[in-house]
Formats: sequence, structure tokens, C-alpha cells
Amino acid sequence: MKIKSRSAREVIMVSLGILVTIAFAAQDRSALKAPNGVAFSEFQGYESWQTVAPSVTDNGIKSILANPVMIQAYKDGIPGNGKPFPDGSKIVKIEWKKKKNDDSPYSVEVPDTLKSVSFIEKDSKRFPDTGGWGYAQFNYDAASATLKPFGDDSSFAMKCYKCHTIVKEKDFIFTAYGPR
Amino acid sequence: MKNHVATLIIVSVLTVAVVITRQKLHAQNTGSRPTDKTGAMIANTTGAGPNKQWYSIFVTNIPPGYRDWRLISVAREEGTLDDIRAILGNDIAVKAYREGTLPFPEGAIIARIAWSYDASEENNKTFGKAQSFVAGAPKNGVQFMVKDSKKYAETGGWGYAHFNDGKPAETSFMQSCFPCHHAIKSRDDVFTRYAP
Repeated sequence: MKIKSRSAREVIMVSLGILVTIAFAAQDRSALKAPNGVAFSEFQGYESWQTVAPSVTDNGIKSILANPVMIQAYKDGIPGNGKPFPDGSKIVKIEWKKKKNDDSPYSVEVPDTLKSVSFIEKDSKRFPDTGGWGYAQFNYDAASATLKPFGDDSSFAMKCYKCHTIVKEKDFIFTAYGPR
Repeated sequence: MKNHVATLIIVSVLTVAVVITRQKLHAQNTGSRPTDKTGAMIANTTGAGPNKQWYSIFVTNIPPGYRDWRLISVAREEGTLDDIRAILGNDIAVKAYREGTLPFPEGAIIARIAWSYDASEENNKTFGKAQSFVAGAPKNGVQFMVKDSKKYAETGGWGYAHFNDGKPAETSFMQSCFPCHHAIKSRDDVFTRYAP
């Protein structure tokens, strides 16, 4: 088989270029890890977890979702009943920039582009120094459409932990389950 | 001979690229696919009331298990409603959103739940200023859109529902749903876009 014409060869090279771009444009998030070793893949399927509650700040709108173990714990009255969340509990905070919804006849703020995805998981043995919770945050870079782990080294988790200590009596979890 | 080698290399790289792409797409799909089993299981644990009759052109019983449905998006509604809300979907609706299916298939149900928009003292302590707002007490009822093209043919194939403390809203109120939603006909009368 011989590639005879120059144009045929060009077509192949362009196709090749496009395919390689497609292959690598979608970031392989399964390899992502926070500096403390908490991996993105430990939270696979988080988009399908159930909603704990939404929240809003000056420059973002968020939704907090939790895995079935943690949702069940919330429904059982944790942390209000003084009991801690069980090992295996996982919670995610998805934060977006916010924008006005132009379609709506009312003034409504809705998610714009993704800002970050932050996880906390309970494993008392693995994370004894941070209240039994392992922290990880992945910031979204819109230009490259990729997530990047937050933190230069594993000490970032101490920052998370210190701040979450404000709600130590709620087992370090700020967000309450919004009943409906 | 030179050309043969070049061709072989190109074909190999193409194959690898295609395989990687397919695997990635597959991994993403499996990672976010709704699990019917879980959904069904949960639907039974958080029941609404007994099955009342569906009457008139509005939805008059609360779909069971809606609090455990998957997230479509969240929103902060200003003005008189003044709330913070989450829009959830049953498995059919969420699948349609994720796959970009329009119009929504029969059986799709979209739920809107809302809470009062409360400043969080804990969070403000953390940030050192009043800037964080969280979901407070339940507010502004719960709403649903149920897709059934035949039953709700008069209102774009969607049955609308609004419940305050479990009771359906008055007919006059319900009649305002469709005209407003129909302004967004290009998206099958559904305002909310998929966020996660």
C-alpha cells in the first residue's frame, strides 16, 4: 500500500491530529490525586449522589451531595443526635460561578461554569490527624477544561480541617440536610 | 518500503487514539449512569401519601421518593419568592438531560424543592464577613413537571404540580404554569439546564 498523492497523506495527518486531540481533550480524571493522597477516583459517580442542600456565596453557587451511606446517616439524625458520621461517608461540594438566567421572567441566579469540586470522606483510621475526615479539592481550569488538585503539599488538608473545626460538634460538617 | 512503515505507524496511532477515546467515553458514562436499582429502592423508603386519584389536567399527587432523585441544578430565586432551590429529576429525566434528549421522554419527572435563603452564621464566622447563604426552612412548596403527552396534551405534554404542605395549589394558580413555561418551547418548556 502506497500513499500516492500528497493530498491523501495530508488528509490522514489531519485526521490523526483530530483524533489525538479528541483522545486527550477529555481529561482522564481517574488519575487525579490531592497532595494528601486522596484520589478523585475514590468519589466516582458523585454526580449521581443525592442532594444535601444548595448554598450561595458572593461569587458562586453550590450544591452539596452525599453518597448513600452519608445520606442515610443524615436521615438517621446525624450529626444533630450527637453521633458521628460512619466510616465510608463521602460528601462533595460542587461549586460553579453564578450568572443570571436570561430565559427566566424572574430574577434567578443559576450555575455558570464549574469552579471546583471538593470532597470529604470519613475514614477514622486513615485520617486520624484531621478528625477522621480526608479532604481533597480539585479546581476547574476553564481554559484547558481540566481539574487541578488544590494544595502544594499535604499540609493543605490541615487548613481545611482547622476551618471545619468551627463545627466540630457537627462532626466537622457545615452543611445540614435540607428536609423537604 | 518507507511509505509502508509510515502507513503502519499512522494506522497504529489511529487505533490507539480511537481505543483511548472509546474507553474514556465509556468510563465517563459508567461513572455517571443513574442506577435504577438504587433509585427504585430509595423511592420506596421515602414514600409520599397514598395514591390519590389524578384529576383534571394538573398533577395532584406527589411523586414518591422525589427528595432522593438526582441533581439537575440549583438556583437562587430573588424577588418575592426569595428562596434557594434544587431541581431534581427522576431516572428518566436525568438520563434525558445527560444525553441531551429533547423532547423529554414519557415518564420524565422534574422536581423543584426550595428553602428559605438564610445567612449562615457559621460560614460567616469562617469567612469573616456575611457572604454565605444556605438552605433554611422549607419554603414555597414543592413543584413537579410530569411528562405524559396524552394526558397533558393541552399543556405541552407536561402535567404541572404545586403542593403547599402536601396540598395541591388552586386551579387559578396552576393555570399560570404552562403559559410561562411555554415561552421556552425550544427546550420542551423546561427552563433548567443540567449543571453537574
